[in-house]
Amino acid sequence: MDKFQHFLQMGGYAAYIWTAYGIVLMFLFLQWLLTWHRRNKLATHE
Amino acid sequence: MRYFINSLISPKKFLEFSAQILPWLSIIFVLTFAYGLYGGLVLAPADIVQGDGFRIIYVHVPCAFLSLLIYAVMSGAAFCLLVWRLKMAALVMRHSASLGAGFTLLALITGSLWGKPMWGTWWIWDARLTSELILLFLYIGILLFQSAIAHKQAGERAVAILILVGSIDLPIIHYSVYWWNTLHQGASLNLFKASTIDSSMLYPLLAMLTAFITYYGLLLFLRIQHDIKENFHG
Repeated sequence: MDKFQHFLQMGGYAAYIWTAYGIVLMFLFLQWLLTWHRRNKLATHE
Repeated sequence: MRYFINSLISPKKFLEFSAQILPWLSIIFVLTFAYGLYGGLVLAPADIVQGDGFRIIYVHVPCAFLSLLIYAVMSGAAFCLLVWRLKMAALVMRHSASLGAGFTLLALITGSLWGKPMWGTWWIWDARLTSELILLFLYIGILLFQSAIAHKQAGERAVAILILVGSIDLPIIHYSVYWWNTLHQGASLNLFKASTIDSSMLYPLLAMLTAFITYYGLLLFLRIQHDIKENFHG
């Protein structure tokens, strides 16, 4: 548990690091979701 | 190689080529992204100066690299559109712009999140940051222009000219850290020299770069496929 807490704290930089990773991952996921949704819409109309 | 080039010219051939390559791109993305994340967050040791704060490099550098790469791809497509009038070039331009703008914005945001604890400031008007901000404005201008012109051929040529004029910003961004006295550090990676980063930190960075480039290829191919099926079929 200690190791995991140490990992989460990131040497005191947790807020900066997890915010950066969170925003990037969200962007990657949303862009993929948008693309997938448009393709599905087209497939449904066909 | 010839098959690949042919696929770039003909929408029909592109559909066949992309159907074959998309599964491989997906696999490469998942594997390199997983290793890059694990290597960057867990395996790489803390930096001697920046501590764990340096780990933002594993998202910041790929985003910054993609912001330049995507614009370079768009510039190449713009050239092909103007010289050879390739339909596929217009599709590459159209579907790359929003991704490029997104990665540029992410590069600026992650850069700020890295800069605040290390430099003590969220923003500084140094050459690298300012020229990257100009790149974001260029992308926004291209997106606005594209939405204003819809599918008109003359409009696409105007967008291509705008993209080519804006491409002067790419070498300025890249060489800004050498030409001016900037706060932003020099290049983390170098094609022609040995890297100054230890391999335990370097390999996850290379993996994340590969993952992001593959991700761009994946999304670009999917969006162009969708556009072709919607507009060119029948």
